[in-house]
Amino acid sequence: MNDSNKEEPVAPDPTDGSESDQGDGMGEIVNEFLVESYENLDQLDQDLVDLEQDPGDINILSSIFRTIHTIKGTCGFIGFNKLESVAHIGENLLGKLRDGELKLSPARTSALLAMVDAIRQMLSCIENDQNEGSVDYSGLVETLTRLQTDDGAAEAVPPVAETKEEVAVETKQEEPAPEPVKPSAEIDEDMEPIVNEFLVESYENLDRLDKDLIELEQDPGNTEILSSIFRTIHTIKGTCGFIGLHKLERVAHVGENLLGKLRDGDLALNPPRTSALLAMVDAIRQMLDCIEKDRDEGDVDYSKLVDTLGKLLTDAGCAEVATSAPASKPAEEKKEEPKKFVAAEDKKDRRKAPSAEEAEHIAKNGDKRATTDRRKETRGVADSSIRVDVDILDRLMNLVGELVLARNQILQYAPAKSDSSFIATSQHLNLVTTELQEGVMKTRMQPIGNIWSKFPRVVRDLSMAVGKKIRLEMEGKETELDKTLIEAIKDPLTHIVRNSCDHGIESPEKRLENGKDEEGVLLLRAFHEGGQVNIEIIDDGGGIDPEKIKKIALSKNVITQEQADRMGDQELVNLIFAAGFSTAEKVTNVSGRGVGMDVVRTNIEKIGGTVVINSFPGKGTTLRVKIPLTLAIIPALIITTAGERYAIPQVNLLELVRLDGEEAKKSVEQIQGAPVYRLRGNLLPLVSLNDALKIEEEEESEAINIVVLHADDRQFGLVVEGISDTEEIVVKPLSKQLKGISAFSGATIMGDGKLALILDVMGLAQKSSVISGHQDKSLAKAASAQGDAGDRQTLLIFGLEADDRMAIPLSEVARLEEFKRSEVEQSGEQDVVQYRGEIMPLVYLKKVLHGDSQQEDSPQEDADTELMQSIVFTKDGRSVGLVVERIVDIVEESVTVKRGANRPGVLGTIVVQDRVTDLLDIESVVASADPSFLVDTQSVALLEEA
Amino acid sequence: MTEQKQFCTFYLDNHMFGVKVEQVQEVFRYQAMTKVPLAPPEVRGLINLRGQIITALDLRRRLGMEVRSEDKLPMNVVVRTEDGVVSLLVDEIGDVLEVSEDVHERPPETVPEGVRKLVLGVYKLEGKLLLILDSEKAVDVGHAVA
Repeated sequence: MNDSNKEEPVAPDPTDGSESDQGDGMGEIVNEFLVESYENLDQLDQDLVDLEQDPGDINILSSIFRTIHTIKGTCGFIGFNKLESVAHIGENLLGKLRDGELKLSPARTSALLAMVDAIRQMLSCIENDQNEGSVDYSGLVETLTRLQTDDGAAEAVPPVAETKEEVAVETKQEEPAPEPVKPSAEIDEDMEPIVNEFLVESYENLDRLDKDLIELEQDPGNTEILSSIFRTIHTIKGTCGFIGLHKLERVAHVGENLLGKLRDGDLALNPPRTSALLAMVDAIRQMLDCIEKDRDEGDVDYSKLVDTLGKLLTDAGCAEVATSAPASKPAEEKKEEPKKFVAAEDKKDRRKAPSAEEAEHIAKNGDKRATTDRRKETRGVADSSIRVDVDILDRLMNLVGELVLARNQILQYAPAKSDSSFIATSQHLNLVTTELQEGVMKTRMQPIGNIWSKFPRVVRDLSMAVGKKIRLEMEGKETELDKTLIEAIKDPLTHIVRNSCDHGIESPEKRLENGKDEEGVLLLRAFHEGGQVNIEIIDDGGGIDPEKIKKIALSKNVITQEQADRMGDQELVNLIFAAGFSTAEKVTNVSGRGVGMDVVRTNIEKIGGTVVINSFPGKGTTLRVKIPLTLAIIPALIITTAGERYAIPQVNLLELVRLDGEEAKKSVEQIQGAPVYRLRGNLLPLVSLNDALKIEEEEESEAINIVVLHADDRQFGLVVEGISDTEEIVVKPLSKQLKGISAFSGATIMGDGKLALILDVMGLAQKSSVISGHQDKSLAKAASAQGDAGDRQTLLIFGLEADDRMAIPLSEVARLEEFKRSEVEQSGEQDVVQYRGEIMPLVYLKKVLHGDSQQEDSPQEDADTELMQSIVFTKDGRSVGLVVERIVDIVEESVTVKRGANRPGVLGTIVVQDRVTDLLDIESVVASADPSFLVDTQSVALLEEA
Repeated sequence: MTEQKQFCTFYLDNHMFGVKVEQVQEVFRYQAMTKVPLAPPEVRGLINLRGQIITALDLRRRLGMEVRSEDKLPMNVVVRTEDGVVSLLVDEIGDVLEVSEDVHERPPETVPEGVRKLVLGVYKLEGKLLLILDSEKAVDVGHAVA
C-alpha cells in the first residue's frame, strides 16, 4: 500500500553527507542489502512471469510491489539515488496495477522486467565498485512513466507532468490510506509465505535493534547506529503497511518519525527517548508474536506508546514527558511495559510448556487467543531455520570425510579383535558415522528449483523475442543436489533451455501447420535415479533434422563429405556437441553467441556428468543430463604401478583389457615407436603409466593390463601393472606445491590409511600427446573417429550350423551366457532356465529359423554335460535367451545390406570379414517364439536402418 | 627490556634453524610417505596426518644442501602457511628457544644465495647461530613444473 507515505522519510537527504558517500560502516549494510536484493530480484523475475500468466492475481502483484518497495526504501536510505529513482517509478506503475487502475499488458511486463534487469545491473556495479555505475536509465524511467497511463502506453507520449503530479499527491497523503486489497487486519491465507518471511526477517531485525539502541545510548552521536536503527524500523513499517498490519505500522511509523529527527540532528537522544524506543521495539515484538500465532496483531492498545513517542518529537514534549510527570509518566510507561512484557513472556512460555495459567491467559487475552494454544507446540518461524556460512558446511563436510576414513580403518581392525564390546562399539560408530555423513550431505543439498526459478523469465523473454508461444513446465523442483553442483550446472542448463526455445520449438504458424497446439511446451524434469540426478529438458518442437545438421556440419568443416555420408542419424544429431558447431541459421541475440553445446557438454562432463540427446523428428527433442549427487565422494578404479596405488575416476573408464603371455607380445604393435593395440578392429593408442609418470620400470611383466579410458572424445589405453578394485573415494585437493602436475587431480586416503593419487585422465592424455595440441587437427580427428564409429557397427557373429554365420548388433545383446542342458526346465511348452533369480524363456534359434523339421537330436545324447551357448536379449526388464550353436566373434564392420530379407527372422544379408552373414531380426524372432514379449516398433526400425 | 621471541629450532647439516613457534602446528617422527611422480625434487611425498593430506618438503634440498644419507630418517616439522599446512623434513628437532631481538642481524651477503633468500635473519646465540627460516618462501615451490 501507500507507496506514498514511505516516500517522505525515505527520501535521501542530499545535504546529509554521511549518507551519500559510503563510509566503511555502511559496508556491512550495503552488503546485506545486496544479498537481500539479489534474492528478491530472482523472486521478482518469477513473479512477473507468473503474473503475466494470471494478470488478476493480486497476491503476486502484492508480492512484487513489496519487493520493489523494499529495494527502493533501502536504496533511498543508503543513498543510491539512481537506483531509487528507477525502483520508484516501477513502484508507481505497480501500485496502479495493483489498485486496478491499469491493466497488465506485455509492454508493461517487459518494462518491469527491464527494470528488474536495470536494478540487477546497478547492484552488480555497487558490488564491484561501490557505486551505481554510469549507465543512463532515463530511457527506462521514461518508458515506465509513459506506461502509467493507458494513453501513454498506446500513444507513447511521455506525460511527465502526470507523474510529478502523482508524486506530489502521494507525498501529501500523510495518513496511511486503507489498503484496498486487504481491508481486513486478518491476514489472507495466501499471504502466509510473505508473512512468515516478514516475521523471520523482523525477529532478526528486532534483536539487532535492541542491541543498537543500547549502544546508541552509550554513544548518542553515532549516526551509523542511528541510521541502522532507522532503516530497520522503516523496513518493518513498510512491510506491515503493505501486509495490512495497520496497528503495527502506526507504532513503527511514530518511532520512525522520532528516529528520523534524531538522525537529522533535530533532536538529541536522551533517556526518555531511548526508553520509549525500546518500548516500541517490545511492542513490535509482542505484535509479531501475536501475528505468528493468530495471524492478527492482537488487541493490546498501544495508543499511549504512540502518544508518548509523538510527544517526544519536540523537545518541549520531551520535557513534558520527562519532567511534568517525572514520577508518573515514565512510571506509567514502565508499568505498562512490564505488563506487556509479562504477557509476551507468558505466551512464550506457554509455547514451550503449557501451564496451569492457561485459563488466566485466555481470560486476559480474550477467547480468540484460545487458538494460540493449538499452535503452542510448533516451533516459532524464527527458530526453525538459521543461516550458516557455506565455509562452515564445507569444513564440516571435510571433517565428516575424515571421520568416514577413520571409521573404515577401525572396521578393518574390528574383526581381528575378540573383544565383543569393541566390536559392538565399532558397529555403533559405523552406523552413527553413516547417518552423520548423510546428514551433513543434506545440509549442502539444495533443491534444483533454486536454479529453475529463473527459467520462467528466460523462457518468457525468449519467446517474446523470437515470437513464439512457449509454456514452461517443471517437474521435480524439489530434487536436491549438492550446492557446488547446482552452481556448476546453472549455466549449461540455461544454455540448453535457451537452445530449446530458440531452435527446438517452432513458430506458432509452423506448429499449427503441423497440427500441433500453437503453444509449445518445454518440460524440465528432475529426479533421482541410481545415486545420480537426472535432469531432462524435453520440448515438443520439431526435433533435430539430421540432414540440416549434416549440411551445416559440412559447411563449417566440422566433418568431411565422406564422413557425412557414412554417418547415421543419431551420430549426426550428436554433432551438435562438436566444437565450432551452431545450428542457428542466423545468429540471434538468443543463442549463437559462441557458447555452443560443446561447452555445455564439457562443463557437464567436468563435474562427472553426461549429456545425451534424443531427437524425434517432428515430435521434439529430449536432452538428458545425468550428474552425480556430490563431487566429494566418487567411485574410482584402483590400479597399481611400481608399488604405488592410483585411483582413476570411474567416469573416464570404458573397459579393461587383459592380455596374457603370447597374446601380449603379439597384439601390441608399434607405429614409429608408438604402441597401439587393435581393439575390435580400431587402433587404440597405448600409454604406459610408468612412462607417463617417469617411473623406472622394474621388470617386464607377463601380462599386460590395459585400462581403456576416454578423454575429450578420444580413447586411449593406459597400461598399468595391476588392477585392484573399484572403491568409493573421498577426493582431497593437492597442496599448492603439487598443483602444477597435470597428471593428478587430487589424492585420497585408502581404507588402510595409506594415500593414493587420483589420476587426471584428461591431463594424462594431454601429457602423453594422445590429445593433440592443435585444436583443428584434433577436431577433424574427433569427427572422423565419430564418423567411423557412426556407420560402423559392432556385431556379434554366431553360428547355428557347422558353417553358417549370423550377426546381430552387439548393442542388442545384454549378455552371453552358457547353460548346461541339465539346467533347462519346462514351463508348459516353453523351455526355461533360472537366470539371475528369474525365469528366462529359451528360444532355439535354429528351430525358429530353420523350421521344426531340423530337430536337434544329436545334442541330446550327452545332455547333462553339454553347454548351450545363449545370447541374452533384454527388453523392458524381461529377458529371453537365444540358444545358438556357437559364438564366433565380435567384429566392428561397416554394415551395408547387400541383399534384402529372403526369409522370416532375417533382416538381410551382409558381408562381414569377407563372409556372407545373415543379419538376425531379433525382435521378430523373439516375438514369433514368445508373442507375449513386448515388441517396440522403434527398435525394429533401428535394426532395419542398420 | 627488549622484545623476546620464541622459536622452534631444528638442525640441518649441523646448522641450527628456527621458525616462529606460533607457525608450528606439530612435530613428529618419520612416517612413511607416498611418493608423487613428476613432483619437484624438493617434494618428498604425501603424508596422511590424521586424515589430512599434507605435502612433505625436504628442507635440505630446498636449501641446496647435501642430500641426507639414506640411513638417517628425517623428522617432520609441520608448519602452517598461507598455502596450507606443509611438513618440513629436517635432521633433528631442537628446543624451543626464547631469544631477544638485540642479538638479531640480517644474514651476511656471503651466505650462499639459496640459503640467504630463505633466511629472515640470524640470531647470535652463545656458541652458535640461529638461522630463522622464512617458512612462506620455503614452501613456495613447484611453479616451474609442467
